[in-house]
Amino acid sequence: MKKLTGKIILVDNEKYEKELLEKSLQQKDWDVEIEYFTHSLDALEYLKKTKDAIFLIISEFDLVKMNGLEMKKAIDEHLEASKRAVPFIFLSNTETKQDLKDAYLYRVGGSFKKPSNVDKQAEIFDIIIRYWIVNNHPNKLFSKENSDFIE
Amino acid sequence: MKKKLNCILLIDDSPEANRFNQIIIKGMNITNSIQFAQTGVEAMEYLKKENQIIPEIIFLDISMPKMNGWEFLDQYKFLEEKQKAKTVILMLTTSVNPDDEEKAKLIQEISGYQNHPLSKEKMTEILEQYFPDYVENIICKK
Repeated sequence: MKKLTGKIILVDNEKYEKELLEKSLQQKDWDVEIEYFTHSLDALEYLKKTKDAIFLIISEFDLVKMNGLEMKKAIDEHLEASKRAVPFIFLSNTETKQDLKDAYLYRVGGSFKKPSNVDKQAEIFDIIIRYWIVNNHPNKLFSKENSDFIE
Repeated sequence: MKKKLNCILLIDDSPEANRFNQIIIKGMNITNSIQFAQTGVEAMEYLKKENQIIPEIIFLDISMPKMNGWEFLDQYKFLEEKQKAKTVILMLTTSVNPDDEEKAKLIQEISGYQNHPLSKEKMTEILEQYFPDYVENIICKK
């Protein structure tokens, strides 16, 4: 197994999404801690306070109380959370064209459709993880450890 | 769409099935809420909660841990009438055992038996059969 340094944060109202993410990462031998939040407000509070190393944030657009885009805006408005520049992507089937336009105004790292099966999701997340390992960005505090996985 | 359903409850332990079914149902814009339960136990807890939105449709899988679909139905019979309201229960399963379909026919609470996967066509047929007032625009789009 390839043990990633840094957690993956998942924000989605549906609990089965955590299982799907775990399965898809295991399928490509990624060993990574997932911190799962059903509610965006809880995720935001965590992100404002935490000192944990975070590799990636994955969020649904369509969330109750505070949607994914509003959460991204709130992260950007919080100086400490924003400075960490943790990669943030959407994984959703509900986004509109306007949502997408708005998302990229708020420095979103990508937006992906939820695939219909785990095999496809495993392929997509393998690409996403490898991309964020080799991509230069301010969050690359763990680049040395994780870069060992890229030949 | 004349009007939307209030709630559809999906009882299935497969995260893949839950996501797939959610994509189909959400894409059709036919309900205000989709709820999930991964076991019969979770589903019973949901239905027994005070002031809960009663689902108009329950999609029920057979093979689940803790409490399977048949065991769920055994307990469902004893719910108060207000907790069942006018709910239509449909088996939605990967089971290829013909005995399961025969068994389902003998259970009064079960309105129909469908095999995975759910599709827009199947969902439209279900609405036409059980909720004809809710399908105006879907039928026009056919």
